[in-house]
Amino acid sequence: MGNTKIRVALAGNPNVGKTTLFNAITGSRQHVGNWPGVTVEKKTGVKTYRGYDIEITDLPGTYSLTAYSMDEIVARDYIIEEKPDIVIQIVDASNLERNLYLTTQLMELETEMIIALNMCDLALERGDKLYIDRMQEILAAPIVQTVASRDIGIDELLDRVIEQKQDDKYHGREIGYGDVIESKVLEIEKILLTDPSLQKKYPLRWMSIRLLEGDGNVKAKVEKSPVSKAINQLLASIDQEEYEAEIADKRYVAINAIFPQICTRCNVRLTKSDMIDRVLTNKYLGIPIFLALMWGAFELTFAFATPFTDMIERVFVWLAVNVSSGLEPQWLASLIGDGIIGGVGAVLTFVPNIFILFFLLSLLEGSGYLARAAFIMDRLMYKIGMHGKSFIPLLMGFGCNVPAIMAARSIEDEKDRLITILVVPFVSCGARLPIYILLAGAFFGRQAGTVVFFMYVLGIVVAVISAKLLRSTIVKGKPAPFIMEMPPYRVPTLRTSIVHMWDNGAMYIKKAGTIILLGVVIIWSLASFPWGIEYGSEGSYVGMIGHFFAPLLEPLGFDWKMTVALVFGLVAKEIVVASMGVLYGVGDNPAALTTSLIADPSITALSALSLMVFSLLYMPCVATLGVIKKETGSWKWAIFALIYGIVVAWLIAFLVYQGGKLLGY
Amino acid sequence: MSTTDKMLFALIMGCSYILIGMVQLITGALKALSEASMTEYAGHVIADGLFIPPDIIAGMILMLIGCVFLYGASEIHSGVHEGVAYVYVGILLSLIFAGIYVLAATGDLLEAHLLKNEEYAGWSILDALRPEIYLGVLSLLTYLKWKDSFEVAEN
Repeated sequence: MGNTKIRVALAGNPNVGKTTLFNAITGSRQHVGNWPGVTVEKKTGVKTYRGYDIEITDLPGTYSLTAYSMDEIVARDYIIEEKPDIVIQIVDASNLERNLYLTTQLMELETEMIIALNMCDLALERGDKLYIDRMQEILAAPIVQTVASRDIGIDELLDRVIEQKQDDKYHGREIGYGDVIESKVLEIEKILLTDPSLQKKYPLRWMSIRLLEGDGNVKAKVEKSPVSKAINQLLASIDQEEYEAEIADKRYVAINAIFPQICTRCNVRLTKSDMIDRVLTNKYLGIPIFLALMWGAFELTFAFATPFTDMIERVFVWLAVNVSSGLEPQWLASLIGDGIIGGVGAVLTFVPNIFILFFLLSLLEGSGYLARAAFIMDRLMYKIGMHGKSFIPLLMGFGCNVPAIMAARSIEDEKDRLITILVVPFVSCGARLPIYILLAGAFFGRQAGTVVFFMYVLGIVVAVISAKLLRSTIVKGKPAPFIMEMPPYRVPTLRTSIVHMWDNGAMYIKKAGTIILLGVVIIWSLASFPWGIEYGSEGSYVGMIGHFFAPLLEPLGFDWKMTVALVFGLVAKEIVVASMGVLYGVGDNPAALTTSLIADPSITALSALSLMVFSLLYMPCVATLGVIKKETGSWKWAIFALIYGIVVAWLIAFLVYQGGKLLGY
Repeated sequence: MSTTDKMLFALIMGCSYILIGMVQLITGALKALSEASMTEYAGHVIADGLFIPPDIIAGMILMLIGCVFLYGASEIHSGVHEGVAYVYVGILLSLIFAGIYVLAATGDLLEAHLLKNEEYAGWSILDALRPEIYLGVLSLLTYLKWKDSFEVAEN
């Protein structure tokens, strides 16, 4: 007989260590996908423990269970409709008071709940006293103290899950909303009770409260019911905004009554986290420190990775010489040597840089610093017409633009969201990094790290200027106000940082073996035909394509080979480097691509800089265009992003190249 | 450790970072403008003596760290006890940038001795020494001595 299955959902505010706890419980037995019909990520995993298969679902992080964002709707719909056996709410023990708001809403969903009091070490270190027994009594839920980043309390939490399942009795508490609201709740509940299908599917008290709060999503559920007319009549007779405010107010009254009974601060101290915040969010020093840290990350990405990229480069040069020299027929030797090894090798050479950059970004994120970065940039963002929350997708864009555009879903206002989606492609993603490293390394020597840093800064600057332009022209209006939580600073764990680094780095390696491999084979074929032509010469198909587009890009300092690389880079930006590997690293004695580029008289430091600028800004890759279409629901905006990107890239690269020439470079 | 000691430390470190940062920035700018070789640019005698490579951005960052220290010294001097936060973060920034250059030096070491890259022929550990590292060592020693005395009780 198989193990008994327990379905558990993890709920909680953002930044409370929910994903860390999920990883600590499930280890490698995870599945990542999307919630049905939306692009919010869904993570599930299974843990076999004491004869039970505990299936864990990681719900999106939310501050409440209203219907203001897709994350909130997804989280609460899962709890209500999928009815997990147990909901574990992960609560940040060092931020208990604010986390209780979600607790009060979860209680109304009439589900079995366990509270994992995470980051207890931070609370205790700060001098807080937590009264666990009293907390259990008041909230009518088992409380387990955890420190997920160090695997503390995980087994005890799983024990409670099993006990709660075996107990199989509903333990719950309700918030009282006062006579006036309670009488309306009762009235609505009575009406809802007349529809058995609603009664079977939803907690009616919760539904009544949400209807009083004017929840459009819940109203839509009731619309299909025969009771909708009576409900609408009742709701039309009250001021829903007033009720919504009053209900929220009562929740805070309850929290204010509960909190002093479950936690006291015996010693209010300015902790190290507070001290760091005092400086890093300083009005004058905050932004320079942020820029300095980002520069440091890029400097290190370049300087520390150099010996490792050199090692990989030597391996591929060796492979190109030895593997292809013994092969017959010649076209096969050329395909493997010039095409696959030259092209895919050129891309894989930069794996160390990619891994180091993602590791450093993960350290910044895991420490809690990136949330501060959004905070310190908020004022600036507001001035240029962007929502403060937009900074998070922009930062995520450093990894890959596709999830960054999806992350814009957390922005409630449609206009704010649209602007963010349209400007994210200007943020330099990991796929563009190899282009900078290749060209900056070849032409800028010791200043390469600084050049790469300025490419990233340029991406952000163009994104914010574009946002300002869009806000004052086609997407007029003011950004919505921004409330954001500051997680406490933590020493990021090595495991989490390595997992994050691997997730992003592996995607890059996977692309090298799939779309980039396909790309280099196509480019090699075009460079080899028509039959009898010299490989990669101007008379080959690839040469014809290059010469066809070259007049458009000549004012930017690009020759036909660079033009070809950019044309094929439309599919995926890594192909720019792969194409260069195929087209420049050719001949009987293949040298490293960097050496070939330096030796080519048609590329100067200035044209290399112009090429970096153009590669940064010209149209998003195909995957990004697809996700823009999906997220905006229209090809109109995807085509707009494509054309706008090309025009902006051409203009700025033109200014760089022609301006540089005028200055005598 | 008293707050006065922290103020004095912040003052000394702040001035050192700003002065060295200025030398680094100015020599970096002079070198960039003159396009002279590494040993010929103006002011190279002072810079070489203190192992200061000409580098505009790195110079600006040294000055920024110096400002953080001086801000802290000024707050403590004005009686704002929480000014120690700036001393603490100044030390952390100093350690972060020292760490970055130590890792960069490790990369150079591998290039010179493991990969025998021609560009790094004759590279020695002194080539890697720069103000971020030796000032960082000073910060590290201070941090180890004061690490438990940084939290501030609010009354």
